[in-house]
Amino acid sequence: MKSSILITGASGFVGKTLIGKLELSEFNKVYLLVPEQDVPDALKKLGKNVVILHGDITDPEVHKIIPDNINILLHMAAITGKAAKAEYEKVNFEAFKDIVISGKQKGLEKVLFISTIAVKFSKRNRYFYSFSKEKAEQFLDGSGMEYSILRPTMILGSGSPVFKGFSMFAGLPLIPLFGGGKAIVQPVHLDDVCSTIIQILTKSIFKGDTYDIGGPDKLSIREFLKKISELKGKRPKFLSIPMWIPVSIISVLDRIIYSFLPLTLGQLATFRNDSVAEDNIILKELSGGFSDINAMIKDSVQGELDGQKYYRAVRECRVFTKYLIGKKSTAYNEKKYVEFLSKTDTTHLNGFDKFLSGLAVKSPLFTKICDAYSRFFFQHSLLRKKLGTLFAILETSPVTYRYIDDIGSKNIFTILINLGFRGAWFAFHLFVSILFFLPLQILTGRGGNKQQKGEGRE
Amino acid sequence: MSKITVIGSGPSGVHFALSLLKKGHLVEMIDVGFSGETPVNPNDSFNELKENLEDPVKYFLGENFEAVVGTDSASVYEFPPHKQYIFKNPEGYDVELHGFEPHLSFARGGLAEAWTGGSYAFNDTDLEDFPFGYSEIEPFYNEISERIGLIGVDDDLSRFFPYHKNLLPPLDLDEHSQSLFNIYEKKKDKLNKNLGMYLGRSRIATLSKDQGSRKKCDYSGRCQWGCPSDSLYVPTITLNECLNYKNFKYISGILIKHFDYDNNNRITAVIGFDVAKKTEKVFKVETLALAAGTIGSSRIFLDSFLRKEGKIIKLAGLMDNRQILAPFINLKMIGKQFNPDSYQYHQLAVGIDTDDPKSYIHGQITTLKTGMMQPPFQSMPLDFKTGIFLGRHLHSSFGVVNINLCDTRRDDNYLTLSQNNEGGSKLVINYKPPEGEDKTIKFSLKKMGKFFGKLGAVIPMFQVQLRPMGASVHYSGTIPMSGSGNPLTVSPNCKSNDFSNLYIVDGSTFPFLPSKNLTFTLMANAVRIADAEF
Repeated sequence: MKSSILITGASGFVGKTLIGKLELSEFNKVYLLVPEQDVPDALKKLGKNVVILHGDITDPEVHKIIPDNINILLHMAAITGKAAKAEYEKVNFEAFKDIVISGKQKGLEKVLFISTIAVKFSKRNRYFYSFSKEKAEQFLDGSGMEYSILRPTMILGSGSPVFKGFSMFAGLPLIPLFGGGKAIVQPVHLDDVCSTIIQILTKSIFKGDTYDIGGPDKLSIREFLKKISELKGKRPKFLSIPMWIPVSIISVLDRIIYSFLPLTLGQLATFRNDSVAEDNIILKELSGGFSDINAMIKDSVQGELDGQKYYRAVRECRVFTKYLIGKKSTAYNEKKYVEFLSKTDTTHLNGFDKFLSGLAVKSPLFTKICDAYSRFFFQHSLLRKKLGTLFAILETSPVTYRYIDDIGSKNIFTILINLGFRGAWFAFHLFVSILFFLPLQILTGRGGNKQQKGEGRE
Repeated sequence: MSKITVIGSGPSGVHFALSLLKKGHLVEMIDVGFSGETPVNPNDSFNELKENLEDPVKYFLGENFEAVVGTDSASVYEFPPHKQYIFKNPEGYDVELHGFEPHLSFARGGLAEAWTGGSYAFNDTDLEDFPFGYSEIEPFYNEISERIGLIGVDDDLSRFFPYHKNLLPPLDLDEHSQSLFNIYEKKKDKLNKNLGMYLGRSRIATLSKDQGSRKKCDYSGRCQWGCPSDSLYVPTITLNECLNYKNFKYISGILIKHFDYDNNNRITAVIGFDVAKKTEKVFKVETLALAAGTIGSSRIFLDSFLRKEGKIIKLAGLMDNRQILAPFINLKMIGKQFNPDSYQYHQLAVGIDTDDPKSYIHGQITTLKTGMMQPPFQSMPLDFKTGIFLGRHLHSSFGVVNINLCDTRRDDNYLTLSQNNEGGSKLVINYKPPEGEDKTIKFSLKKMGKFFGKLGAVIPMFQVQLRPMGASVHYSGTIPMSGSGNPLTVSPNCKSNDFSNLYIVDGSTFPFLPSKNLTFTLMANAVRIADAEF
C-alpha cells in the first residue's frame, strides 16, 4: 500500500527543487507544510494527491493541521544564516520535536531528517545552528521512530544561500583568508542532495543511521574561492589572516553586538573545520553520478546571475508601477513583468536607449522625465516598450485593474483643474528632458523615433 | 437527392449547407477548420475573469504578451490571443499584396468568428446592380434573422436598411449610448434636415431572448473575448447545427488548392492539401459550391485554370469597404464611472444621406466599456502617467465611430497569380482606392464632426485613423452575378458561367458593395441560392 508523507520546508532552497523531482504520484497523499505567504507557483499546480497545508512550524497550534495516518515525515524546514540562539532552538529543535510527537500520535512511523555536516565540527564555539541541529538529531534517536539522518556538506547550485556568501568574498579585490583558507570543503550539488533524498524515500531506508553527503571533490577554501573568482573573470588576490585574529576579535564582539556583526563566530566555523563527508553505504551507491566541483560552481554562479537579473527586474517593476499608477506592485504584477522580460527581446537599440532605461529605473520621477522624452523623440525605446507592457499587465491583473478603472473624483471641475496641473507638469518634464537629452541623443548620432529599416536591437 | 461539396465553413457556407440539409441533400463540407478554445469561466463577467482566473494576464495578453500593441501602432484594439487562430494561415499560403492588407481566415466559421455582429439588409438601391431586388431576397433575410437571432428596431435608420421580419427586441443601451441617443432624439429634426444624418439602433446578431441552447445576452462585457453564452452569433453555431444532420459530412484539416474538370467544363474533383500530414488529397465531386470567402474562392478558381489550361487569368472587381475609425469624447460623460457589465460592441449606428443614394455612408458607434486601454495609450501624445490619468477620467466618455464607405467593381482592382520557383503559385492582390476617395473621407469626417458636436461630443481629428484597405474584411466582387452569361461571372443564382456544376455562394459574386456590413446579405444570398437551385 502506498504511504502518505508530510514534507516540511518544501518552499526552501532544497525543497523547491526536490518537489520538482520527486515522483509525487508514488505516494498515497503528499502533504506540504508551508507558510501561507511562501507558496511558490510550482507548488500550486501539483497532482490531486498533493495537499498544501498552510502553517508555521513554530506555531504551537500547528499540530492541529497535521492530518492523521501520515507514515513518513521528511523534515527539511530549518533556520540557517544568522539568528539568535533561541530562534535556532525554537525552529530547528523545538518545532521539529513537536511535529514528531504530534505525528507519532497520528500514526507517524518514519522520519527522514535533513541535518548538517556542521554537527560534526570539533571547533564550534557559539555555533548555535549546529547545536540546534545536533539536539534535533539526538531527540530523533531517542524518539522511537524509524529514521535516517542526512548531513549534507556545503550545498551548491542555483540559488544556494551559502554560495552567495562565498561569492561575495570571491568578488573582493583582496580576499581575506582566515587561517590561510586551509580548511577543506567538499561541496555537493543541490540535485545530488535531492536524488539522495529520493533514493532513501524510494527504497525506504530508515535504519536509524546517519549519512554524510558530500560531492566528489575535496578542496581547500582558498582553492574554492579561487575557482569562483576565476569563473567570474577575475584574478584573485588573497590576504592570509591568522585564525587567532578573527577568533579573538569576534569572540568578544559576538557577545556584545551579535546581531550587527557581518560574520559571527558560528559562521567562522567553516574556516576552522574541515567540512568533509565520511564514506557510507548511500554515498558509495550514488556518488558516482554526482556533479564535480566545476559544474557545481558554474551552476551556482549562473544561478546568482539569474537571481540578480530577477531582483533588478522586480525593482524595475516596482519603480515603474509607482510611476504609472502611484501604487505598490503586487507579487503577481512582478511575476508577470519578470516573465515578460524573459520572453521578449530586451536588448537596447543603442547606447542612448540603454542610458534612458538605466536612468528611468532610479526613481518614478526619473521614469517620468525619460518617458516624456521617449514619447516624442524616442518612441521605439525599450523604456516605452516596458512601460506599455507593464501598463497592460496592470490593467489585466487583479487589484491593480480596479485602480485603473476607478474614476476617483467625479467632479468635472476637480478633474479639469487636475488635468491642467498634470498637463503642465508633463510639459515641464518634457522641457527638462529636451534640455538634457536631446543634445545627448544628437551626440550619439542616432535617431530613434522611427526605427530604421534593418535596424534591430543590439 | 444530390451530393454537394461545399468548400469553407464561413457564414455563406454553413447557411447554404443548412438549407441543403433541410431539403435532404447530401452535403460534404471541406475546410481547413482551425479551431479555438471554448470560453473560460462561462459565468464570469469581464472583471470577474481578472479576479478569478489563475493567470488573467496570460488570458488577456497571451502566453508571450502578443496582444500588447507595439509602440508605433495606432490600433485602438487587438484581437485577444485566444482568437488568433482565426487569422492563422496554413503553411505555404503565399500572397503578394499591392495596396491591400487582407485578413485571411482558415478557421472553423471563418472571419465572422471575430465579427461584431452588424447585420443590415441591403435595400433596392444597394441591390441596383444585383440581378434581383429587395422583395426577392427579403424572405431569406427573414429566414436568416430567425436562424441567427437578430436585434433590430424600426427607427430613423430604416430609411437606409429595410425593417424586416423576425427581429428581436433591443438590448438595454449602455449609459453612454443612451446619452447620445437621448440628445439625438431632442435634436433630430435639425440634424436630419441640416446634416442629412440619422441615428438609430444597430442591427446586431445577438440574442435578447433565449433561443434553444443559446442564452440571451447577460451583459458580461465579454463580447470581444468570446461570448460565453453564445448570444452573439458566430457561424460555428450553425456548423454545429449542421453536424446534427446525418446527411452532413464535415472534413477538416484540408486546404482545397484547386479543382479538376473535364473537357465539357464539368468539375470532377477537388484537390486538397492535408495541412497536418502535408500530403495531397483528392475528393470526387458531383456539384461544387465555393464558399471559402472571396479571396479563398477566387484563388481556387485561379489555380484551377492555371493547372488545367496553363493560363494565368485575372479576376477583376475586388471590393472592400474603406473604414475610418474616428474616436470621440462625449463631454457629458466626463466624471461618470463606466459600467463594465454591458454589451461591449456597437449598439448605435449612424447614416449619412448622400446625393447619390448608392454612396450612403454608414457608421457604427462603439462606446468604450471593457476594451483594453493600453492600445490607445500608445498613440496618445502624452507620457504614460498623464495618459493614464486622462484615460481613467475619460474612460466612460470615450467612443469610436467606425465609418464605412461603399465600393464599386473596378478593373484596377484584381486578383491574379504569379508562379514561384518551386512550380507553385502565389496569389497577387492589387488594389487602388477610387478616385475622389479623399474628398469622400473629408466629407464624411466633416459631417461626423458636426454631428457629434451637436450631440455634445468631440472628435479629435488628429486621432482619426484611416484603416488600410483590406481591414474591413468585407471582400467581394471578383466573380460577379450577371445575366450576361459572360465568362468569369455567375448566373443570377450564382451558378458559374464557366463550369456547369459549380456554384459560388460567397461574396465573390456581389456586383456592388454598399457601405453596410455584407455578412447578413452573404448568408441570405446563400440560402436564396440553395432555395432556387436545389
